[in-house]
Amino acid sequence: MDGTNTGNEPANELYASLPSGVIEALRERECPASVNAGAHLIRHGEDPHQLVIITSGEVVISLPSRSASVVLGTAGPGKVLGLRSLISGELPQIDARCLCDCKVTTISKNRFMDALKTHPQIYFGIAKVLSADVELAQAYLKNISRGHPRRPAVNSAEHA
Amino acid sequence: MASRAAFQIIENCLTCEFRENRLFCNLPPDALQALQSIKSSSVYPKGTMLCLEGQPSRGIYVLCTGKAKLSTMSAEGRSIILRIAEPGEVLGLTAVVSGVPYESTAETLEPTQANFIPQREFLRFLEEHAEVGMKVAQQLTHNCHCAYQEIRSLGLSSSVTEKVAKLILAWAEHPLELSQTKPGEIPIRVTLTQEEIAQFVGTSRETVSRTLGDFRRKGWLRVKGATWWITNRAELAKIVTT
Repeated sequence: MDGTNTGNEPANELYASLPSGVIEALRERECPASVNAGAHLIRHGEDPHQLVIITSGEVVISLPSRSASVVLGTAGPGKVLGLRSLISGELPQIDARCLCDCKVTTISKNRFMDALKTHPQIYFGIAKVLSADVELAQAYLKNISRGHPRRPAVNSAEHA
Repeated sequence: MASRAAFQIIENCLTCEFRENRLFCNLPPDALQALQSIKSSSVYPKGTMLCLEGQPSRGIYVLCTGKAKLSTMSAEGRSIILRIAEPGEVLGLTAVVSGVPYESTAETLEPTQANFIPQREFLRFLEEHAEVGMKVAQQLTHNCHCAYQEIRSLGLSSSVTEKVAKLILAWAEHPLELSQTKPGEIPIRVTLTQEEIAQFVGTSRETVSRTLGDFRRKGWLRVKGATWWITNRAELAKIVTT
């Protein structure tokens, strides 16, 4: 895409493929926050009401079930959480819990959907993020079948 | 290749009767017109590899009719079935959007019509039509949901019995509409062989055969060819603890 973000500002997996004008529109809607170690950024079965972008710290992502939980991996700066719920309206399947004190940027659901209406190019970035999530889930599935599941780091700016 | 006489081909996306019920295809007229102009339709017999894991991505396939199994190869060289793609699904999407090789192999399970859209044309289509972006996001959300379900099933199920029961119960969510079904029974169509079911749950064909035999003996399942009847859903559900 033309005008892709190439600036020096911290990258995240959503903004990475968006034109600078669209990134600017999203940045205007951002709200920074600090989250303590142990707190959940996303909780399984609960509407997140917002998009969460990790700017510093580390988060463990797991897939809870009725009686147990599968750790999918950890995520660091650049990871975007809550996108699937915002797009589909479905409740999150994952838990994302801070392993240490984290700094995040949030965009409320309403403000994000408003940005989507005026900048439909964001869908392209969303598709990239969701594709990466699918790839990682499938990589995990490959390992499960061997009986010794490796726990790959969930996508972050460093890993992307 | 199946003959046109034996297989009804959906030639035109604009007049497709299934369009409104399909996640990806339910697009506004201008986007549909554009889709119609960039896709090429083909009918494939059972067993056709639409895309191969590791092969550079060339484009996407929209399944119009028929089903395809999506599989991947473990590091040990074993084939693992990830899921069964249903009509309306888009195959190869992750690879085309990310510009990476196909992440899984798609093989038709029955005569199938698929519309192929080359990568470049699809990405342009995606950029030019916001609604397509939304549909792609929804399809990827669905794919991710399925992958997570699989991880839960394979990673948390304690036994093969539980995994097989889970699989059958998942199929029961899309029952066959048969006129001659006894009350309480759920008819399903199973196009997978026992070997393929084994690849689905990560075990051997013999173990699958034993497990299904056990379900039949207990009166929980009735099998006649590719048509199965779940005769005691409650007992199967009791096995599932995760």
